[in-house]
Amino acid sequence: MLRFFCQLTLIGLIPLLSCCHQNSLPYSKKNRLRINFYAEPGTLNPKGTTFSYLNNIYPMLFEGLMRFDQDGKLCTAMADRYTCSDDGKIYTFHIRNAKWSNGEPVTAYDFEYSWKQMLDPHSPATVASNLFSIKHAEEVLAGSIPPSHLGVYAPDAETLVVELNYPSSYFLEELTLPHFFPINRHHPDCFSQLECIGNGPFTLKKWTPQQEMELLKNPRYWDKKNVHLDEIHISFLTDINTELRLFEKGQLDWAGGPLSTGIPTHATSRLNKAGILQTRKSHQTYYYSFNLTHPLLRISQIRKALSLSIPRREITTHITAGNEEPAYHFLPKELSFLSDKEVWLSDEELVQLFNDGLEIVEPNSRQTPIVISYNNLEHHRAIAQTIQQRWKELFDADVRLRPREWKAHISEVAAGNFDVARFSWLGKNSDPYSYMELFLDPHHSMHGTSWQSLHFRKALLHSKEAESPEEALSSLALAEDLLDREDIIAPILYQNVVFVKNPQLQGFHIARFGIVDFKSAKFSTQVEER
Amino acid sequence: MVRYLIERFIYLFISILLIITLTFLMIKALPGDPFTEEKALAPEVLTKLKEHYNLSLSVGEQYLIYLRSVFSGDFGTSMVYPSRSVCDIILDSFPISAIIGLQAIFVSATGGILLGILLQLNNQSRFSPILTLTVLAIISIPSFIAAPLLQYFFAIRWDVLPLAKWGSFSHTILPTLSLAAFPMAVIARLVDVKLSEVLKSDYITLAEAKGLSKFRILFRHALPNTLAPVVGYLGQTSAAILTGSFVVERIFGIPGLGTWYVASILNRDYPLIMGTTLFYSLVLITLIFISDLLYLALDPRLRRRYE
Repeated sequence: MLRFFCQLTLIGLIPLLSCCHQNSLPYSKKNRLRINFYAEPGTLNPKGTTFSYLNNIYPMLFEGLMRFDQDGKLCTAMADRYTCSDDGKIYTFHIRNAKWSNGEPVTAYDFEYSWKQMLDPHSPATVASNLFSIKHAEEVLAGSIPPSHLGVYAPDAETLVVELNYPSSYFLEELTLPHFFPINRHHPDCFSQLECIGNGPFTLKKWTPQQEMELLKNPRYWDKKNVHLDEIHISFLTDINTELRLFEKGQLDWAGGPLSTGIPTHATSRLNKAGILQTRKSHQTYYYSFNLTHPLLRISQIRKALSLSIPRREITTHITAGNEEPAYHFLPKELSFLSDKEVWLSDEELVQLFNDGLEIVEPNSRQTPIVISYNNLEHHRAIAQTIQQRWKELFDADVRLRPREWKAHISEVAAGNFDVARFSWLGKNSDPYSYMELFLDPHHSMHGTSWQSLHFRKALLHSKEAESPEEALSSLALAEDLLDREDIIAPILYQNVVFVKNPQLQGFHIARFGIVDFKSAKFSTQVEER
Repeated sequence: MVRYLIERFIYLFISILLIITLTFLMIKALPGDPFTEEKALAPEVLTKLKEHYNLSLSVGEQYLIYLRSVFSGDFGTSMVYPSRSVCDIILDSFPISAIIGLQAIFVSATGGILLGILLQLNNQSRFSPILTLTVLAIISIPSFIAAPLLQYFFAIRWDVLPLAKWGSFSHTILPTLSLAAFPMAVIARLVDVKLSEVLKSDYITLAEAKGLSKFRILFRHALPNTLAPVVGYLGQTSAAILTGSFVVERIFGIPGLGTWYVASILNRDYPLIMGTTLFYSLVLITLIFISDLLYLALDPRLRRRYE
């Protein structure tokens, strides 16, 4: 009897095990890049850009007026030259002789049309506020003045004039971002799964929803001699562990940031030791913000003691392990006006500072618990636990952890329901203003500290109206000093873009905004020295 | 019988209405909305977008608008994937989940019943503790551990099956196995327990006394009576298995309904949450209905009650 069943089970198993072994795709065909996005882009229309890393699809299919080359130098792209007025407020771009993927010429009218579309008062783009540096953009969005008054106009097909609210030396680098990309005004809705009319180095060949996207080299691209890849295959897998396994099996050429949410925490130090982990600096600060309505966190000495006691080196070496640098200021190192010298206090001094602060607190609220909120990801949890332990041991404080789902986390913080909250911030350009403007709103969802300072506000806003660049810089420096002195946030580290890649893949560029550009990427036979 | 069916349909309608109402209220109670983003939207943009999606109306008005469109068969368009309607998404992804689900149900049912019989027949032998332990182990290993283990052995160590993604039949094997493991072990336990009870009953002794073969006694006489709890269990589990397990689909990168279900909640994609929840509950209710009918077919006593 038993034998019969064993036989039956075995017979059942044979087809299961021997079934079609035609699994893996043909291994790395030459000049085909295989990458993975952590989610499928919602639409290919640049108007649908969000603040997320899914924006990486747009530089493949579209091109703006400017572009970073593979060495990170800002170059002209759709514009072949430009001039800037003396007051720095009016830019005139001359559009290059380039074609859309359907053969029609790219004109200045296309740019004018698409930027006005972004600010359409009836259905604005989510990122519409990124265009607010253009004159009258806010009023056009609000519907108070007609779109024809927007500071963008095309006198002829080859000329685009852009008028800004205030002189900005960062405007040109912003033009590399997807929200400034053009769409073909004759086919404004042509972004289906079958066809996408773009002007970038690649075109859409096939899009299978939820599975993959295939891009081909665009034969009509103006600079096609510098495009070396023939194909790009993009799959959409959310799980970063699976992504890394596929990479290690040779079925992907790239794993980790900025295309997906990163490398699994448990794998970073292994990959780093093996020498294949790649890290690039980004201008993103990871920080904890303090709620100033909390009875303890209200006191600046306590905040200072808490902030200074964070074991930053321990976190960067043992937890994130992607060659990150510890942060002592909110502004990225390259933009900060303050010295990056580490302020160091001994444990006794820290405890003294904390206890000094405690003296001011009413006796019955000295034992109020401090709750650290964070969004529930592996490495945020690890960092929070480290800090919790440190604060508990050093100050004997009642520190608790509260993980939340991402959207719940930011909306609870915006509503003020938190004590200490984890965030990271990346400015929209390398203007220190784009970092500090967060604190103009005391209840901004990315800090929620309820901190208000007239001096800070005045200094920061003055930088936009300053007569000279030097004056602007000095008021920015003043604003940063005022912000830093209050310890309303505790900077922890500067995040890096961490990834692994096919060692033969070269010639790509990762901008500080977390966008990777594969325009001139290629597979070289020589493996790059690290 | 007709009375039974009518009764059932009324219940079905009421439950659907309740589910719509509860889901609607619950997603409104969730903190955050579709536009909660890392970089806060400009207030003007937020107001305009909310107006565009009718989110500036009161919850009551939104509810009535939604009910009206559902009963006219329109489930709306995804807010994150504006070019796809909720129906399209469900129709595209459900078949994928269903293929894996059907395979998993088949594997777990046949495997579970066979394993259960094996357990029962061996309960005196020295293999018994090993078998029982194996079954217990399978029950206790969650799928998020089983799936990477399967990936490691079959795709990396021995390289016989694809690691992830979707495409050919071979892509479905590992997900099917990881999905089938748990219900298979549960069914094995159910069959084992029930069978030991049935084999002790008088009619089996009679059958043995008649000199029937052991095989015939087991399959013709004992097994049908042990299947009732299995059918009941499968009825509830099938819905979950068919509509896709989020964990398994995520690990294997399968574009099924489970992935959408969870993504819609994380994105606060209101129309899609409503659509997928409604679809899931419809499948669940239908399957429970079918398993009730199967009960009727298996148990004549129940049938008599409705005649």
